[in-house]
Amino acid sequence: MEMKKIWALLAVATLAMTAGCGQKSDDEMMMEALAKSGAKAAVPMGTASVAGKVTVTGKVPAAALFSVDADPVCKAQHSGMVKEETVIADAKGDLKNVIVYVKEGAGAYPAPTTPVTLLQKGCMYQPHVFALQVNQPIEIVNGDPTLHNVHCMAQINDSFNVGQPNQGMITEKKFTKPEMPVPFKCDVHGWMHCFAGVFNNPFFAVTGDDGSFKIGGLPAGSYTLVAWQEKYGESAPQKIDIKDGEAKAVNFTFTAN
Amino acid sequence: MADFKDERAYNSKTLTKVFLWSGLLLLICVFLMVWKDYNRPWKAYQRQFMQLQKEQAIEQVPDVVSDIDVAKFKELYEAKKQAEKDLETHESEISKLNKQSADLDNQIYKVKTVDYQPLKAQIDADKYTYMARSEEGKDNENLKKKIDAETDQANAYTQKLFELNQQKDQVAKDLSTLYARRDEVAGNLAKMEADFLKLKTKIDKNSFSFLFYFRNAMMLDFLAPTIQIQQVVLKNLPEDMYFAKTMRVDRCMTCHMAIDKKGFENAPQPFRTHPNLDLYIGSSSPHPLEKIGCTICHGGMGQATDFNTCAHVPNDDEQAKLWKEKYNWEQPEGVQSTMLPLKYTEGSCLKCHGTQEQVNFAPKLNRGRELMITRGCVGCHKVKNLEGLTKAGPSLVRVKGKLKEEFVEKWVWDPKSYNAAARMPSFFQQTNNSDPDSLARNKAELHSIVRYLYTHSEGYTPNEAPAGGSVANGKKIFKEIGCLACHGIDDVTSHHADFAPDLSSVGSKLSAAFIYTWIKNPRHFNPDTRMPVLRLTNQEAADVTAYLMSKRNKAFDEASAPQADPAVRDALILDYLKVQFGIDGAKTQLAQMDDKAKEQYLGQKSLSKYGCFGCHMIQGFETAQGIGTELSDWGTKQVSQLDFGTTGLPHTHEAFVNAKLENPRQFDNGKDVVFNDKLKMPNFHLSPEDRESIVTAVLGLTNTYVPDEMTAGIHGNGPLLEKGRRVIFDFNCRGCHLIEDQGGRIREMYQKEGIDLSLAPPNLRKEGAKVQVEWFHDFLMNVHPIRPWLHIHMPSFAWTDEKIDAVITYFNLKEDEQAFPFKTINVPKLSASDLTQTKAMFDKLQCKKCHVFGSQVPADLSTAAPDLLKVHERLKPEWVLDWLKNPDALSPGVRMPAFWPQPDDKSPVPQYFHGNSEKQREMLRNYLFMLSSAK
Repeated sequence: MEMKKIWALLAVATLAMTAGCGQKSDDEMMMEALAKSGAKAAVPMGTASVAGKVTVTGKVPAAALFSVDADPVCKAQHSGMVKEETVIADAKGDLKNVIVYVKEGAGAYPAPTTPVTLLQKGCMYQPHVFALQVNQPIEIVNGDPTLHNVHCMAQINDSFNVGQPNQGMITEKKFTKPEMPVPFKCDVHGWMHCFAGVFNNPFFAVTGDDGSFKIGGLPAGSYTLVAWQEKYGESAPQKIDIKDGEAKAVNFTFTAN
Repeated sequence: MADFKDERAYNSKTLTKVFLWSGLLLLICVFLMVWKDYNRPWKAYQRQFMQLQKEQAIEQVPDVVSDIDVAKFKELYEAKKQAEKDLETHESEISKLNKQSADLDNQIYKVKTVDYQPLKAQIDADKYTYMARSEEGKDNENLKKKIDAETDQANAYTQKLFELNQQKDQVAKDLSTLYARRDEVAGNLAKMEADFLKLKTKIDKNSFSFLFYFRNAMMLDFLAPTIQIQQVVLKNLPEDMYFAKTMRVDRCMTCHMAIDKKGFENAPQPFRTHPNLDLYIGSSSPHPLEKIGCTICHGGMGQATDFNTCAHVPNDDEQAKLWKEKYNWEQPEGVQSTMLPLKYTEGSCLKCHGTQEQVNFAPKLNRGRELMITRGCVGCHKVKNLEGLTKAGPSLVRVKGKLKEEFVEKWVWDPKSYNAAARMPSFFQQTNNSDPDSLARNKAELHSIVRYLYTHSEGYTPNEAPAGGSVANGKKIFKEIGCLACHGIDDVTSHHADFAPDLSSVGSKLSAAFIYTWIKNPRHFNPDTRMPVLRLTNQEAADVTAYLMSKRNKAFDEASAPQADPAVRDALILDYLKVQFGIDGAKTQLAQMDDKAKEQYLGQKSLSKYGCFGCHMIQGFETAQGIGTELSDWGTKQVSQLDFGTTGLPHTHEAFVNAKLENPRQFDNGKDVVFNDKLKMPNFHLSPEDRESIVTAVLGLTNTYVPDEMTAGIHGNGPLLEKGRRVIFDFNCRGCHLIEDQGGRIREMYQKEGIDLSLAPPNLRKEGAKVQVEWFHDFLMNVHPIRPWLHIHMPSFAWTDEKIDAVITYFNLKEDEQAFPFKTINVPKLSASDLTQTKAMFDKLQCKKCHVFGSQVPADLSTAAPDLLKVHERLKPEWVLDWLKNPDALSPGVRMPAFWPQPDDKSPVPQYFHGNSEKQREMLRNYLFMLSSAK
């Protein structure tokens, strides 16, 4: 016991000695750590770009028609039957509503503060397919004088299901993790559904009517690109190496089945 | 010296040498011992872990720092410096104040302890003397004067003390005013630094400093080492050391140092965090480390601190190979307890949860237990807590009216030839009885068994099936109404239930009349069946019958039944009789039997031999005991007691059970066994996953002593809950419903086929809090669907009051321990003005867009929500409020949206009741209850 005490005293003395010599204050250590952390700042946007077209080969069946008469408010905004939006292709096979994105190779980028808008109008979602960044606000607007519920069936992010009984009502949300795809539906109007892609970088695009897309601001490097279509799923990946200022053409093709 | 005459009996010179050498040897031994102790492997692990923690903390620094607003920090940093500089200008003032404060302290001390306290003691003493003298009647005048004077003086001191303290407070106040700015800035700075400094402390703590080496140095490390054995002592879970119970001591965390620390989920072993800390190990989990320890679940030698003495057991061959290379691992033998391979760990839950119908979060174990019941393991093998259950196979007391004899013979001879998914195991044509001799004998046995069954069977005549059922419509009904919750069929691949028989070839088995009568009312044939009534119309039943009759197995239909040879039969009978009557007596006995008597005799003997009554109800075997080994504590049976025969299997429990399940007859390989002594356990043709589940459940059957206080399900409401759970299991409620978030198996089909899950049978989470007891009872007595427009519907079970009570009690007690006595429903009526407002709100929220409202139905009835006019008779008022507030929390994925999204709780209709969300929900609820009562 006595022995132990002596050792303990010795230990304390040593500790005091080591602690005494040239210790920096907490504030100074923090300042140093902050100075060093500069290296972790976001990768800056680049000057390279990728553009191309998404097409579908094979016979695409004509879009099915469905009735929205179940709700008089919906009915009033359409003349007759409404076209399915699952596959929208023109005569040349140019495919609309395809999300093209960098699956591998890009870092994380801060989210823009400008919100993305998802409008429910005529008991349809506008746009039917869209993409946004992690933590970018999304405003979901009810443009109809009827009840909609926005049922987001995210798996990785928090899912939600909000009732919007008023026209003009806006629900604001954010996704905190990358997820692809995030399906939305309205349970009041069984035909209403749409999809979102959530990415931690700004390198994505949704094809327009002519199936074209453009992704800009890429820093030089190697990337894996994929295209996603709600019916056909994810395309085969395409690897690209790109230099500063370069504009690369990349096309994707799906096969109708 | 040299001439010293030694008179002792030994030579001291030699002895000196002996002493010298043995002393040296001893010294070397001591050094070796110390060295070995210093180098124990766990010490190296602890040093490695320090390094790992340090590296991790260093890695986290940039993350923590990157969240910090640099500009703000710099501003504060400068502000703090400035404030400190400012303080310097007030230096003289501060030192003056400090001096004042010190002076005041001195004065206070003096007045309080030197002046006041002794005086107070003197007063007390004088008062005592005064009293004593008064009693003796002595003169006290002078003393009284003295006391008065002293009291005055004491009061003066108290006053002085008060003044001094006031002065001191003022000085402190002045000082803090001067320091205010500095303290404020420093406080804010410290807040920003807190996370970083925590990491910094961690880094320092895990650095190999001089002090670390000093405390852990060889020969010094007995004093206060930082590297030391970690352990938990588990008083409530004693270890059985053959003849005595000792406290269980687990030292696993000596090496597994991160077992209860978050953040090492991907670290290399032994430093990985335990999965699911909220359920295991975590201090607020139901299984905290300090109470449950490690070995009660994982097995192994808890006190050991070396890889091999701990009795580690690898999960698979790959890991075994790795361990052999890395740790020189070998299969532990002759130890008290070996570790359970990781994939079987769930089995250990049974030690404390053995009396429970199922163990939440142990799906593999639950599946294993379920298979042990539904495949009939427990029919032959006695298993504690799984006794007296419904038999696995159908009752045969009316087999004559259900099946053709030829079918039964073909079926038992090879069940798989009828249906690959048949649950009946194969007794014949196995590896130990496929020789011509055995085949002939088995055929004779089988024929006699069938003869016995048909002789001991009551008659039964089903009703006629109407002609003209539609196969296509029957197929649709079969898929949609819920048959698939229990039965499998090959037309549906998105879901395959195996709670009840697979019906892929049922047309080759049953007659149309039997199927029709059975699905209309199963109890017509078997009053004790668990099959419910699905309330089909005659036409629907005819359609389903037509569909099921179309499900035939042509090859099976065309095959002929095995042919029995009477001579072989007689020889078998003779073998049995010999034992009783000797060879000559046996022959005489046999000669006296006619064919019928012979069949009955051999049939009865064979039924006993194969233990058919374990799964089937058979006349004459009502009280027979199962023929298998009891398995209640099989997991703790010594490996040396198991007969591995010539199988060449590794000598482990898991290898043994797995092999028994894969091919039970392989244990006869290479042995010369007489016919009747051949192994009889049939082949169940289980998938590797199912085998693994059963092995898990069997390894968990142990005789480990667990005191009552550590046993789950036997305290408080436990037994009542278990009673309900047993009914829930027995009738496969989880085939459709999620109960305690387990089961809902038919949902698999909805998911795979992309059908909206909210159209599937409901999740019964919080059902006890949801529905009124009277309604629940009425519903189970007389099922009437809540959404009659859905195809799938709750069938009618002919439950006794006891079963219904058990289920209702279970659901209610699960939500509320104080559910009894059941509370009365009381919802206040709305005032006239509230009613007007609530009605307007109800319309504004457009509830009728989805909900049925008496005779008013939404445009698309097929996906409609329940009738709001029935709310008052079905739902509990408190639940309705919870539901309106957050439907998804009560039924995940439900279509009902949140109108008051949480956590903001913002109303979409602020024009009513001043936008008070809680009030709005209450008014709506009251309206719903009022409205339906007024109907």
